[in-house]
Amino acid sequence: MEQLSLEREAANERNGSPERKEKRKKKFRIPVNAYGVLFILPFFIVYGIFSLFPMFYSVILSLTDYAGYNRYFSFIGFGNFAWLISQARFWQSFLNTVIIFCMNFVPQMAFALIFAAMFTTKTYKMKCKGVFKAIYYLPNIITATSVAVMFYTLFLKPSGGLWQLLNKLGIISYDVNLYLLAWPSRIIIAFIQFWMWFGCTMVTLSAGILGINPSVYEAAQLDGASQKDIFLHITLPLIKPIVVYSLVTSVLGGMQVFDIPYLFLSGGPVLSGGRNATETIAVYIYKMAFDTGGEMQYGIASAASVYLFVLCMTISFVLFRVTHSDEEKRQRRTERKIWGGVRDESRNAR
Amino acid sequence: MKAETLVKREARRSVPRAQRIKRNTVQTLIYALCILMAVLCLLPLWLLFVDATRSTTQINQGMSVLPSKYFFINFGTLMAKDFPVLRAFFNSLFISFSSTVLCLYFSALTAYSFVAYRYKGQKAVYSFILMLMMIPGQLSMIGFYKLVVDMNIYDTYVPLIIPAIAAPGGVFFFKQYFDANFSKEMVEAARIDGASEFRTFNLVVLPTLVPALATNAIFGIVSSWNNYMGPLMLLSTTEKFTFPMIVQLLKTDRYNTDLGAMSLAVFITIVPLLVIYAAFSKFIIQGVAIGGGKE
Repeated sequence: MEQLSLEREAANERNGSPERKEKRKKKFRIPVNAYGVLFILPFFIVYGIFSLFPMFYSVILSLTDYAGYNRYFSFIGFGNFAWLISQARFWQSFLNTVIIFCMNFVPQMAFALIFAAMFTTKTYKMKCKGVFKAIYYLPNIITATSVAVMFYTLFLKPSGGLWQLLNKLGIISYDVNLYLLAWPSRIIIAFIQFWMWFGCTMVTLSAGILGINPSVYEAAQLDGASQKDIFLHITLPLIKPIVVYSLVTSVLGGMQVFDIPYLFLSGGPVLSGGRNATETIAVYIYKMAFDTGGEMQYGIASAASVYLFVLCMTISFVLFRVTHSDEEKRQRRTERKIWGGVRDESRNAR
Repeated sequence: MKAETLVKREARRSVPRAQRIKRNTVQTLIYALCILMAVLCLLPLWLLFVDATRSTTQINQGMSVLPSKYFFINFGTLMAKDFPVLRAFFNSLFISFSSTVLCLYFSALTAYSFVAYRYKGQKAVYSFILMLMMIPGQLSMIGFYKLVVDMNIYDTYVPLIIPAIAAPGGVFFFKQYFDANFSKEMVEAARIDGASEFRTFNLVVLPTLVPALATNAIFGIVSSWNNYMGPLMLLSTTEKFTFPMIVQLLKTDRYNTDLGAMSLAVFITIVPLLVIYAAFSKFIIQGVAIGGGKE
């Protein structure tokens, strides 16, 4: 094949007819790199139509009184934004999101760190690591809707298995219906989130720990550092980027959490005491816009989604700023501490 | 072989006794913790399965960790209630397969453009795509809904499948893969042989991507399968409902009364994913690890 084309080219050279030269020039007219632009076009066309445009559309709708089955709407300025700020329910949904996120993320990160440390330690050889990891990750792939309904039946009074377990252990008395109380419902939702995401965080963190250059550990061990010291002063500082990565993705995911709270109690205990105690921002937006028998307040819902967007952007910006500002410096300092001023070339090369 | 074991035994003996005991206790503790966590992860699923095999009266009497024998009776009850599980299963299958194929092909193509070509603004475009990953989906939700209604594709699968072409996460994933495994020589060889750029990508580059495609395909299928909010917002005909949507129906009174049958129904909705997971858990966990391994 190659030879053939070479021969043909040689023949072309020999003939040298102007006509053929013209043809060759034409064939090479499209620069190869133009294909690069061509290849990203489908992505941007589809993204433009189905994501970018809807985003701007949402922002525009947030400035209108679009609601119900109306075909026409008019601009009302920032009325929706002002209205939302005056709504206790909106603030409540924001607070619920933060509460549920904290209750799930703090233990999740702590346990994930402990387990990742246990799984990657060199001194204690563990068997069946793969099996354990597979078990921990399993809840994450199950459909959130199934998970929500499953836990709903399990914590249901009086038939749910876990409700009966709590009752037998004496944690709750017989007349307690968890779904009517604000805090227990929140705790259950946070627990479901923990149950679903612990494995994912754990696998991510242990991959990060395994990515650390093993010679760092060897050096520390030669110097007689204890397991605890190694974890606190070597592993933790070096996996900070991955912890930050987990933190950012978890915060963004946590702010947008919808499936579990919506399906579990569709936003909260119905009774007045804990009304809307589990209604997150995303659930609030959805209920505002689409819920059957709901208000169909598209304008207000889009205004709320703009708030959510601003919130997410601010959080990720702040997180990156805080963690990245002296990242390089600190890493260099850590390396100097370990290597005594000698930079490890292999690390740089990576 | 024998000498080796002897050496090992000798090495073990040379460790002081107190240290050996300490090490053993720590090791036991670690195992105990791991097993405890594993039980925590599996217990809800197991309880659900057990409930699926019990009658409503048994479930009301108290919890059990051992299955009973009402499995087939519950199954009969469920089928009598016309639980539309099979149709929803195929609907979901269709949506997740077609959207995943589109997502894989175009994500790989987009990522390929970043490594195989050089053009102005390339880096900026890539950072832009990365930035898109940060934008919360809720922002476009209402606008997307309005757009879909305006375009007259409400209650069809089009808005659930076509947008998969533009998946920033997929592009990121393939770019990472290309960064580690891309060989420019191969592409150049194909060019010299006179293959067009499209042919080069389809016939030369794509086959080398198989491991990345496999990992990403599993993630794509699972996440599309689990997508709930999109179909909930965009579909209104019950015949078109996806799998997660019929799970939601289970909480309604129609199924709520027979607890055994309801548990069975929820369990049935979990089974396909358990099967996929049993087959591919290794790839899935490796795929998750890629996110953590990169800094």
